Amino acid sequence: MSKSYWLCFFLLLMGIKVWGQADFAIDHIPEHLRLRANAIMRDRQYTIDMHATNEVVLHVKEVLTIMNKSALAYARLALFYDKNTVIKDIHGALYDGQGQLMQKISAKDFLDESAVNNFSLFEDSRVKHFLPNGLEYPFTVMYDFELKFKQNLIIPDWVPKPYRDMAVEQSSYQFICGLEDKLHIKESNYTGKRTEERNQKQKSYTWMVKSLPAGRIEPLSPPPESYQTRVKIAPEQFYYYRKKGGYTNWRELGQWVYNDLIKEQQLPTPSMISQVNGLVDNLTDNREKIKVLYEYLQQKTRYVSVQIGIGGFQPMAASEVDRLGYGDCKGLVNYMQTLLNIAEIPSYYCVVNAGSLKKDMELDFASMNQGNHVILAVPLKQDTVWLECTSQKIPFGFLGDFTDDRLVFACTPHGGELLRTPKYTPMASTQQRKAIFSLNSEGDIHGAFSTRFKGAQYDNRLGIADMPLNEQTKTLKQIYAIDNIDFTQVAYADQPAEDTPCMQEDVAINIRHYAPKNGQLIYLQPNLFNRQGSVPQLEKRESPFYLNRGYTDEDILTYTVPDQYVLRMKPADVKLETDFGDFVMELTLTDRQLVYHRKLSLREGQFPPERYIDYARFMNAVYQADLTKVVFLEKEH
Amino acid sequence: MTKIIFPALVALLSFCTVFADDFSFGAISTEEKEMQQCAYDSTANAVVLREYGRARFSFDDQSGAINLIFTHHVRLKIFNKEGVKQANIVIPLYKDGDRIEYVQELKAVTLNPQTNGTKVETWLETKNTYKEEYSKYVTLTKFTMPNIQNGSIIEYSYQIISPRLYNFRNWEFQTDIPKIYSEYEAIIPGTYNYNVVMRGPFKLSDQKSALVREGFRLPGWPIDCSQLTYIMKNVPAFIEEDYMTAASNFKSAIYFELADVLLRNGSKRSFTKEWKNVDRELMLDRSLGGQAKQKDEFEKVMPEITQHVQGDLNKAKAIYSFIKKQIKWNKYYGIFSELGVRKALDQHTGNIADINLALIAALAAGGLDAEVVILSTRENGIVNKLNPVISEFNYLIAKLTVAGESYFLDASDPLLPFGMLPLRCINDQGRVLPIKQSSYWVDLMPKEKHHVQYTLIGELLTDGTLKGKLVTSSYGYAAYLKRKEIVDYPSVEEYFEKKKSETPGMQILHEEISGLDTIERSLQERCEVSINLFDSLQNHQLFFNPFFMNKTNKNPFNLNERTYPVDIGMLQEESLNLDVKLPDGYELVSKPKDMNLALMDKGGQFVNRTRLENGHLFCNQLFRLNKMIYGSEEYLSLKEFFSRIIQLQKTDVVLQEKTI
Repeated sequence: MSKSYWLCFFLLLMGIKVWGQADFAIDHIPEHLRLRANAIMRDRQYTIDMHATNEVVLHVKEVLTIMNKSALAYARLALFYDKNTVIKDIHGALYDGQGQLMQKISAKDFLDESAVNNFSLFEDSRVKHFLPNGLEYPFTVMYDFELKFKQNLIIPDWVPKPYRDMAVEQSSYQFICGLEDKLHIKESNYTGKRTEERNQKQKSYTWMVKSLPAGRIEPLSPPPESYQTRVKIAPEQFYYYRKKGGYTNWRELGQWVYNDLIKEQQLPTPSMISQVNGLVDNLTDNREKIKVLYEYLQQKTRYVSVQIGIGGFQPMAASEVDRLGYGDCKGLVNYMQTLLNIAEIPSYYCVVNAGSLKKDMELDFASMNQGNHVILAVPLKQDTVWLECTSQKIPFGFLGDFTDDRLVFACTPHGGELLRTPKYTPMASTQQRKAIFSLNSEGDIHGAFSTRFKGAQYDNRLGIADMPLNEQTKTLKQIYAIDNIDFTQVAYADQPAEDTPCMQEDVAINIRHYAPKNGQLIYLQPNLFNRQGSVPQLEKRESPFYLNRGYTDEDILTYTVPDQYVLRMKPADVKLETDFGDFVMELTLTDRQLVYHRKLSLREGQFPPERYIDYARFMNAVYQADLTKVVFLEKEH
Repeated sequence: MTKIIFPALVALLSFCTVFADDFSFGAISTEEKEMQQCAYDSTANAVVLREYGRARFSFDDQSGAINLIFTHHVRLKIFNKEGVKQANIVIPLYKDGDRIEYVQELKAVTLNPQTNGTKVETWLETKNTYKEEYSKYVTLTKFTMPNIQNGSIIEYSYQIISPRLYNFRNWEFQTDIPKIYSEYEAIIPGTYNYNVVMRGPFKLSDQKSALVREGFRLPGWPIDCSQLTYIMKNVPAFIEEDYMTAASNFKSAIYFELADVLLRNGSKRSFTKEWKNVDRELMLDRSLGGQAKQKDEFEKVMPEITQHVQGDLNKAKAIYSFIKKQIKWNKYYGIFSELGVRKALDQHTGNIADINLALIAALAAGGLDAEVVILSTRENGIVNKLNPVISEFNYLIAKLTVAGESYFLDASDPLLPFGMLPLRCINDQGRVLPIKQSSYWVDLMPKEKHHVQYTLIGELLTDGTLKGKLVTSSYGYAAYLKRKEIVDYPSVEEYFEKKKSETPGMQILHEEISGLDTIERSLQERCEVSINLFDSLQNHQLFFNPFFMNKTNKNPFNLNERTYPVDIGMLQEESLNLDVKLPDGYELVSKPKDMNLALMDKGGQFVNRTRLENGHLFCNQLFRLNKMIYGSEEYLSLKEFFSRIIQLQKTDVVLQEKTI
């Protein structure tokens, strides 16, 4: 601090323009950082001072320039707080493009609201937030705030460049702690070298990035974790809601979670014991027992998010879930585990990062803030049964694309371990459709089709299957959005399948005037339902692209056409084989039957940027092929 | 929508004091126990079996305040897992400084009927109810019912003690699940006179009124009350549909608004008044009329603003741009100014009323005739036309009259051209408040429509490529919305990049845009395009589809029936003019039908013409929707209208190689 005072003083003496506001003028931003940047982080100082395990102070000072409306949201400051997090101070200021002060921001300008997300019944967390408004672009916002955490189990990560279209002039992170404090530190995509300093009382670590240019926002970007600079810190000894502990790896962290958060919540009541015994007594096979208990759970409970108390880490007691018939993911998994305990079947409480984008727990770095959901693993001799306990509908042992194929953190009585959830391969994630239609001379289509959904596609129709018929029809009209379509029959049923659950949809339809007649020509677009959307054709791409999830769709649609129709024009068959996937479209007319066959399988994986244009060509070729039509000529009698 | 008006005090009160009482808690009938589905809606996942509400006044001796005590008692049944969300109950409570509402006497139970005819009761425990500070003005009391299964019956009741008397307590007969029986009892002291308005399509099944002797007591002053009972039976669920304005316009509900109160000294304090009183009050209000008169604020700058312009209209336009530049909108609505004209000018920010009152004052300073118009935005619903309900208005604009022509002005959006209203304001009627005369209703009909014109002049090559120049001209709301879209991009180049990437099958070679900054005019995008129309010739024939520019792929009206009017929000016009030079040596074999489709009462039009002339193919299409709101009875014709267009657009132009 004292250094900069001196500097100011000298500058003043020399009669040079003073530091401060004028510095924020956008003219001071180097040209290469303005290129493509919708926002520029001018300077950010992120300091965490761990005074004690129950007193951690975060101090942030940042100056951010917003170039245009598309980056306005980055100017929002939202500070979440609860019983364990106190906002000590917030203030700031707004400057125009020339760096002239326009408005000071103080705590009273912040809106204070409940931070409850809409699926949650209750969380005791609140948010103070502020968004600059009504300003001309560009403008600069300065914030200076301090938060105090009464725990050190969760130390926020440092991410100096959180958005692709943001450039960074300078951003630093200093972590201060006692000389004896032991830390685990993980640096990702950090190319510099951190500096360490010590004095009599404390030590500090500093990271710094400078001159990071903005990049384009591109579709199919890989998960940000793979390219963002990030520093994670986990202190070895921690304090959390009046609990203490210590860990250096997943094993020890898992041990603490099990002993301190879960175990005490699993005491069964006599009625639970007799209920479980009644259900499984006649069964010998463990898998059968698990299935019966899982179905009991599905029928008895429902998902309600009630996150109070231990920061959303401790489950509600099993006896409480038994009595109320509801719980959040932790509560329901804990309850299921307790039921299995009664039946003497061991199982693991597993923390997972849920979402369609697959994210692993980090193998080499244990910490509590990597997951957002909990599932249950039941190890058997041959394999492991995975149970999602918050759904009342999904079949036994099915995980779906919310939690599949990723490393999860299992908290077992013998400590934590990382386990991988099952993967649904693109070949096994199928949607297979067969249809028999007839086309009459009015252009109407009548017929029926059945579609089977498997693997990661199993739950494509799960939300509709239990709806009343009129709701189903309404939703199907959006899925099969064909003009004049009417559904005369709709049925869903689970089908026995060897390896993965399988749902079958059986639908009968009428489509009035689907194939219009113009003079003697009849136009039929044979691909009724499965039309691929187009993808942006980017000539230049900067970042690799990432296909998160592959699948296979096959459609075989057979149309019987009127006698007097002769084929006039038929598109050529299409066969594409690429590294991204394969596509086949074939049309065959035999006698009066036109068979349309389409098969699209998409792979998954990461590809270099220069391959993107090939990918776009492939997908857009599929898009074009899906729109092709057949033209018939009506013979005169 | 039907509105029925009742005088709150029914003249002929039957002189009895029978309370049509609340139904008894937990006394479930066998019929309710055994009910498997809602008799008149088999698709319902849950149903309200019975619901009772009562609102009455009470005098609090300790605070000396009059409170409204609202009792709500509900019994509902959950049929299946989809209905479980009905077990999550939220009671919103309002607070404003020390005027706080609170809940008392909450009790709730889940009853699970057993096969042996008994039932298992699980009571809600107080510790499982949560209070959430939702915002500055709202607290939520939340709870979820325990032990919910298919067939569970939930019963709960509570009281809200509220200091808010102005709207009494509104009652919604309709919600997202059907209600078999809903009864509301309003017990209103004879000294209070409320206007009562029914909304929604359904009629009351029963309505009673009775006199309650001394039903309300002020110290030393017993007051007789009228007890009004409203009953609706077999109310269907309210289902939201697409293209619908505010749900409150259509839901069956009963609304109250205080008209006047008879004071002890015999005088009457009036709340809901005649428009003539409201006019006066608003124009005298410092945050409304008072601000509209602040023309002194502009006296100094006026010569500068108007120095280079001739004529009143141009003067008005200059003033309009001045205000748009000077005051930025802070995204708050309102008919009352928050900061006042001077502060808004100083701080360069303000709410809707600050901005448009400043505009009105500035226009007045320029010697122009500008008036205040108050209105309710689309999402806020339609206002009551029978008597002035100020709380229903949430927006204020200016009405300018120049040479007998009137213009609506809103200076809150820099991209809005002079005389155009943002879409949120296009909602039925607004009330004009002239300074001296009495107020009147005015239609908020837009002068402009959403109008786009495509012109493509090009040449078709035998390899299936169409090369040409495409001009897209946007007018009215189309130009406005496109400008709004483009400013969201960091630069126009990035807008082009994005556009290029989104047109598979069409290559955009060179693109320019004009009129981006002249918001009063149309917006023109010109580009050179190369479109791949077909792959190869088959049988010496060439098929191509001329509807590649603005094809309608999906019918927006796909359902078989419609309950509410369809509100498309804007008048629309789209036209396409195509001039394609064909390769030599081809003749026309077939082309999409020429057609002229019209909706009833000139509600819409679609025209298609194709002709071959001197080796050029000319296609002209015109599409118009001439109404903003189509009645539910017009739904099927709209659907058919779109369907015909889709069918036509599937057909091709077929050309045949000439045999020489």
